[in-house]
Amino acid sequence: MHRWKTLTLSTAAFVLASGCSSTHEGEVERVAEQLHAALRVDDGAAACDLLSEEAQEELQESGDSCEVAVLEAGVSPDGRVEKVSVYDTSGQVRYDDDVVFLSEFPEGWKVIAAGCEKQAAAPYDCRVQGG
Amino acid sequence: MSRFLRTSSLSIFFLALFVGALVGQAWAGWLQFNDQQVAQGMGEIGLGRYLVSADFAVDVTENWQSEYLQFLLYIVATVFFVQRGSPESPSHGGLGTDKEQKLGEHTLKDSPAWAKAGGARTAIYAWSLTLVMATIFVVSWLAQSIAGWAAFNETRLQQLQDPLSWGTYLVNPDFWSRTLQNWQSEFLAVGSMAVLAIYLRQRGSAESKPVGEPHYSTGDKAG
Repeated sequence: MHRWKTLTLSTAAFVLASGCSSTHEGEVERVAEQLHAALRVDDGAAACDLLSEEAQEELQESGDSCEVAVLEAGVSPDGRVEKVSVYDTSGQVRYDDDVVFLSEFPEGWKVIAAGCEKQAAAPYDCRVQGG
Repeated sequence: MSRFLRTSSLSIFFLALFVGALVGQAWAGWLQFNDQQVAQGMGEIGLGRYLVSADFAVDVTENWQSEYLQFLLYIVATVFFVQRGSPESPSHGGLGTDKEQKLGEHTLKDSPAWAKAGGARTAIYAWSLTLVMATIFVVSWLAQSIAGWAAFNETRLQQLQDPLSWGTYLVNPDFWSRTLQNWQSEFLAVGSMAVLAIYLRQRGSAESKPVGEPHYSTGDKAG
């Protein structure tokens, strides 16, 4: 009986550990907000620091540096946060005029896509995207 | 201590196998998870972080629920269904008489207290194995659905798609693929065991008829 109780408790622990993502929601929202804040003041370097490596490389494919390309990408930085979702190592911040996707890296949460528009039955189409 | 080890060696053997296999699964699953993360341009995570991840939880619980379902069904099915010649089958279906079940006036001095108590307590105790196995199955399956939902949404977000609600995930092919791929293997294993044990033997095993027992001997008569 004791073993069954242990198994049940272990299961509950798994559910709590995997189902509860609220601990990361604040961090995810903070990084997305920092990106928008950097874009609002045209601080390309600060914005690029918040992007994943692949997102930075994708921006540089235009021939410009990341710092320049991220400001010209056309991401709307003035929206209001409507919803934050976090599932394990992935996060999404929905604004009233933008959607930002994030992923957890060893150095912290990074933006993998921003300036995203919903496509019918397909992944979002994003102005900044990588990873 | 040595007496405990000797009289509980079966439980200890399986507990050791369980722990060893779970550790191996955690290690292999962690490496596989990080391989996939790197391939998708995402970050790697540490082993400790992986152990509380939805990916690890769903991989563990989807197997737990199916194993407990397997034994739950076997316990209940062998009450009502008969397989002639199988040592796992009763010679006749049904719940048995009080005399056969050592209940009522047939209880023994050492019978469990709830078996001797009568009334609701004895009725519950008579189904206690099924009730506990069913509870673990339901809890494990619920845990699989929640962990699987989180892991599925983690992948959807990586692919720049909106997450699904838990209710929507319950009718998603991912949930049913994980569930049914485990169920089919459990049902096959139990069914084939019931049939193979009619004709084949393992000397000394409680799961087998005695080697010289006729093929037609069934259940309690076979022992």
